[in-house]
This record gives sequence, C-alpha cells and structure tokens, in this order.
Amino acid sequence: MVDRDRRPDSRTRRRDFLKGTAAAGGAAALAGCQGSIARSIVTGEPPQAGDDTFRIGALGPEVKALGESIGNGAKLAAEQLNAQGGGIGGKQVEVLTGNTRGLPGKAEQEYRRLVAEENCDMTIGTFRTTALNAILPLIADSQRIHMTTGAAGPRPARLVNEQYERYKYHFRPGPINSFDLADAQLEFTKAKAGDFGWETAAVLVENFDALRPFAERLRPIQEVLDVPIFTKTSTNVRTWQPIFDQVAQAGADICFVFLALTGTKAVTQWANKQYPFEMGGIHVFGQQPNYWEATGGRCEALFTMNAMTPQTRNTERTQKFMKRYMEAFGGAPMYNGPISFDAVNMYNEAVENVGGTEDTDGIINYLEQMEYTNGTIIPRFEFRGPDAKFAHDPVYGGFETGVPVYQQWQEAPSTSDKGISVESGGVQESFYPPQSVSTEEGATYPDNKSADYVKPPWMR
Amino acid sequence: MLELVSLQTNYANVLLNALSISALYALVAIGFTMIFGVGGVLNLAHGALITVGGFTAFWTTGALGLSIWAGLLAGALLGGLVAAALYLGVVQFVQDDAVVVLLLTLIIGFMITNGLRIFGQAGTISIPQIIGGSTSFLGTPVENVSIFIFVASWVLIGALFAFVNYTATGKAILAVSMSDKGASLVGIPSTRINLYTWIIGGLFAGFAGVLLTSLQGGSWDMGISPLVLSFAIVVLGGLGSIRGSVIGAYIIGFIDTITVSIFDPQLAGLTGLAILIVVLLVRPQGLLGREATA
Repeated sequence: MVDRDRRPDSRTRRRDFLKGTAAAGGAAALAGCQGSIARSIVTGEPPQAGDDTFRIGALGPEVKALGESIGNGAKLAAEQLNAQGGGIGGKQVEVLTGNTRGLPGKAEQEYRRLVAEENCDMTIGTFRTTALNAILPLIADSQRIHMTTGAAGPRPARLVNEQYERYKYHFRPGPINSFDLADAQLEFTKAKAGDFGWETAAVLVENFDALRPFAERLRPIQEVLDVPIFTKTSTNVRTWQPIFDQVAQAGADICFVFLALTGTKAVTQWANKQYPFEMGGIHVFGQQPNYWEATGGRCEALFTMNAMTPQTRNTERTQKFMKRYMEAFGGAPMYNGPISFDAVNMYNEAVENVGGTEDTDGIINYLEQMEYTNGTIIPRFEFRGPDAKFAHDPVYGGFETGVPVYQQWQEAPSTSDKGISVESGGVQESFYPPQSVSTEEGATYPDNKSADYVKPPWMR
Repeated sequence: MLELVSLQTNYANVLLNALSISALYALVAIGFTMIFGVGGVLNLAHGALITVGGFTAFWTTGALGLSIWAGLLAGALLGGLVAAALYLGVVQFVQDDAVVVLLLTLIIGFMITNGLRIFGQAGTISIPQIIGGSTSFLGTPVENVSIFIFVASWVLIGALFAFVNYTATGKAILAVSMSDKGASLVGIPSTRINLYTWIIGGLFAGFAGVLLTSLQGGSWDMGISPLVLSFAIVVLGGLGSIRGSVIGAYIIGFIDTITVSIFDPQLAGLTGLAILIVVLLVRPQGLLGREATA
C-alpha cells in the first residue's frame, strides 16, 4: 500500500501518467501505428487540447446493448446538454467510445488512448469489474473523474475510503455494489418466498469477479429457506444438465442463479428440459432487451434483478428517456444506458454549481454533498461520503428507493397500453418492489411494478 | 470459498445424459478420424465446422424464419460445403506436409470462428428445439430431443458403415485409407476420395453443431471443446478407425458425464485430456487403430 505522505504530489503524478502513456504510445508510433500519441512525446503536452469541446470517454465492451448502452446513454445526455446551449462548462460535449472487450489489458489501453491521446476530460463505464480494477491506478494518476456505470465489484469504493487522496476521482452512479445487491436479494427472498411458495432453494453463483463478494454476503439466505445446494459454478459451463438434475433431485422450488457469462446456456437448457423449478436472481444476459428473441422465448418466466426495464417508471424521467433512446438507437438500453445518462448529468450539475470544469476538487466535493433528483433510475440519489466503507458508491436505501427492480420475462400482450412497442413477443415486466403503496412504516415505493410474478409455463 | 452443501445424483439421468452426449461426440469424432484415416492429415478446423453448423441453423431459423428442420439440413450442408472448400482451396495443395496442414487448418478454423464472433454474434445463440417434450423410460422422463440425437447419430453411423462397405465409392475410400499410392495404381482418384471424406466429415460436424446448439445453446467458440474431446476420442479408439471412434466417443462421453455429475461440474472436458495423455503414453495405437505416431 502506498504511504499517503510519501506519495508524489498530484501534479507530478499527472505528469508521470502522461509521460508513461506517451512512452507506451511512442512504441506504437515507432511501429507506425499511432502518430498522434507520438506528437505528445515531442511536445510533452496532451495532444489536441481542445478549448471549446468537453470530451467524455465511454468505456465498455462494444457488444450490442451490453456495452453499447454506456456510450449511447452518454451520447443522449451530451446531445441534450448541447441542445440546451450550454454543453458542460460552456463547452460542447463530445462522447468518444473505447472498446474494452471485457479485458483488463484492453481497458487499460483504451483508457490511456481516451485520456492521453483523445484528451477526454472525464470517463465513464466499464461493464466488468476486472476491467475497472485495471484502470483504477490510471484514473488516480490522470486525476480525471471516472464514473462507473456498469460494474458492481466493491474494490474501487474501498480504495476511495482507504486512500482517499489518490482514488477520490472514482464515483459510481450505479449499479449498487455487490454487497448491496446481496442485501437486496436477501430482502426480496424474505419478502416474497412465502407468497411464491418457495421453501427449498438451490443457489448457484458463477465464479465471476463481481459475484465472489456477493456470494459470501448471500450466505444468510440459508436461514430464510432450506438450501440444500449452495455452490459456485464455472464461467465456462456448457452442460447444465448434471447441475440442474441435482437441483431437481434436491427438490428445489426455486433455483437462484447469479450468472454473468453463462446465463444463456443455463436458461436454454432449463427451458428445453422443463425442469420442475423456477429460476432467477441476477442473470446479466436476461437484462438485455432483445433476450426473448435471442433465446427464442426460452427465457419466459426467468427473473433477474435490474435497475430498470423498458416498462418501469422509476422516476418521472424514465419513460421519457426510454422513448428518446429507442428513437435514437432503434432499441431499448440495458441498465447501464440510463445510469450513464444520469452520470453525465450529475457531473454537469456539479460543474454548474462549482462554476467550471477546471476545479476538480470542487466538483468532487459537490458530488459528495449532492442530492440528485433529476435521475432516471432513483428519485433521490446520493453518493456515500469519503468516510463510508464503500466511499463514492450509491447510498442504498432498500427497495423503498424503487431499485433494484425484479424483472421477469413474460409474454407481450399486456404492454400495448403502456406505450412500449413490443417487437419480439416478450417483455421485461417488473414484479417487485410493489407498486406505489405505503407500508405500515410509512414508506412509499415508486411506481415501478408493471405485472404480477408468474410461474414457468410448464409449472402453471 | 463456497462448497457444495449437498450432492445428490440421479444415476438414471447420468446414464441418459451420457448416451445423448456420447452420440454427438461420435458424430464429431468420426469425421475427424475419417479425414485422418484417408488423407493422413489432422484437421484442426473441425471444431469450426461445428460452429458453422450451429450458426447456420441460428440464421436459418432466426433471420430467415424457417423451421428447425430446415436449419438442421442447412447446418449440415454448409458444414459439408465449408469442409469441401477447405480441402479444395487449401489442404489438397499441402497435404503431404503434416505440419503445414496443422498450421493452416488451425489458422483457418480460428478465422472462421472469430469471423462468426465479429460479424455474427459474440454471445450465446439459441435455436428452437428439434423436438419438445419427453417420454417416460423405466420411470425416468427422457427428453425427446435426446432420443432423437441418439437415434439420428446411429442412423448416420449405420449409413456411413453401409456406404463404406457396400458402395464402390466407399470401397475406394477404404482403399485410399490403406494406401493412396496403391489406390492410384488401380485408377482410384485420391483427390476426389479425399474430397468425399472431407464433405462427410463436414456434414457430420455441421449436423452435430446444430444438435449441440439446440440442446445446450451455442457460441462462436462452441467447437473448441468437442475438437479437444475428438482428439481424445480418436486417439483412444485408434487414429483412423471409425469403429474405434464410436467406442472411444462412448467411453469419453460416459467418463466426462460421470465426472461432472458426481464430482465437480468444473471438471468438464478435463477427463478427456487426462485420458488422452495416458493413452498416448501407455497405448499409442489406441483400442483399434494404428499408432498415433505412424
């Protein structure tokens, strides 16, 4: 761990970052690849320092919906800010994308390119936690604010807490981190297991970066339900039959799955064989808007946590955003689209209040204090403060905030009255948290619920 | 670290899963071993032909909106077509140099699969089931699709045996596999015979690719694991022996299924490799074939 007092001052670190990047770029330039990075070696200054453009670097795997939503959400925000005339800090906003391909090394490379070569003033993304962890030192060295809008692993927030001066540039507008996701899963299970008739459960957690801390936090689920199977699964499972046979043999009513990479094979084989248990939890591919089509409808009745769906009304701006997004890009976004949209707007609000884009510490201070009420995901959003264990992560206030939503893939008919165009025959209905009701404790949920939970067709 | 709190195994399910997956492995391995047996070359693009089959069915049923049966036919045919193009366009010119063939088929297989990833679909693909529902067998429900795979596999294997043993072209294939020079002396065109074996191998791989995608879902890299297992299968059965490949496929299929069912799902595919190493060290000629080094 770096000794805070002995760390070089911030100007030195920023210069070192640029030098290091220039050196890396120099090698490429010698190979005839990246001439513009080579220019920065000669001048010692960031190339193309535009005075009238504010550049946002959006990092993510450029896979349809999964990572594209990050850049697209930011582009919508940029378009809106430019149209209003002010851009960010009086500068026109431009969004540049960097394809991480989900790989840490590629994420580093793209971050360096976006910041040192393209001179991005801030960055957003990434989808995978390993990619995010890889660029954290670069974010610290470049001293430009990065807003995480896809990955859920808790390490960045812990680093902000432990080495604040170095890592204070990292904020996570969403999603809530892995530990909060596990808490939400526990809360949901306690609230709904009885209603859905779940007594016995199997828990399958993919051995994926962001899900490892999640799994440990989820252990108390064994106090809520009878859990004869609680196991990790490989990120390369092809044949789910042996695992699902055991789940069925154990008499599970519900198979909680937490899958980032292997979900489609799982849901395909679950539906093909019509296993006698329900399935859901966190199913990243199941969050994709085109998933019904992609699985030929096999995802029917699969449920997953999400931040929003094309059907939900997390805030009064959610559906407005959704409509604009679908008009602009021809399809609905994943959760990281609206989160990226919010991230850019949060940053802009901070700049407006601080009075410019140059005062990075002022912007950080503002974000730490801010109560953001113009978002598309949460009506009232706040970052955790520097002293919080997970500093600069979202404050998670339970389902009363309206998130996460539990969405379930259902057949389409009920949605025509909601103004959502349904092309594929299936929709992402939200069945929890409950709809705009006041609890005994006086809490009110946002109007997120769009349908009741249903069992798989072969279990009805 | 998480642990498996409880492990319960239904042995009837293990048996049925093993029968179904072994039938698929057999189809893949037969093509692989035929190409080696007749042409003397190892086709490392064989896994890519499986992917071609799966993706063809994906587009046939998705973009074109045709039935899964059309997808199955198209997947098998395109597998055969790509294999033919691979042989005619590349392999026939370098088939005397085993290392060059290995390298070229490896590179071409890599290009095909990554081309499908980049220009097709990077994630998992799904196609409709061949047949839905299940049939009760000794009190255990058996998926109809598993029965179909098992039966289709044996029908194709039977047809191949009949073709090889009872037709003139089949006998010519046997002749070339024994000695291509001898076959040439009696007027058998070895290039055309090699082309036939590549087409048969491609048809079988494409067919298996469609079935695998229907059963489990597919992806651009779906052919890698079957290719590796094919190595284990054909070495165990004896390189160049079709009958040995069928036996090898069932041995590997059963051991692999039992391992993932009873011990740990994360060991999938590794047992095949372990067997490959042991066979190469202890009995390089395999069960029924000639030595791998021959």
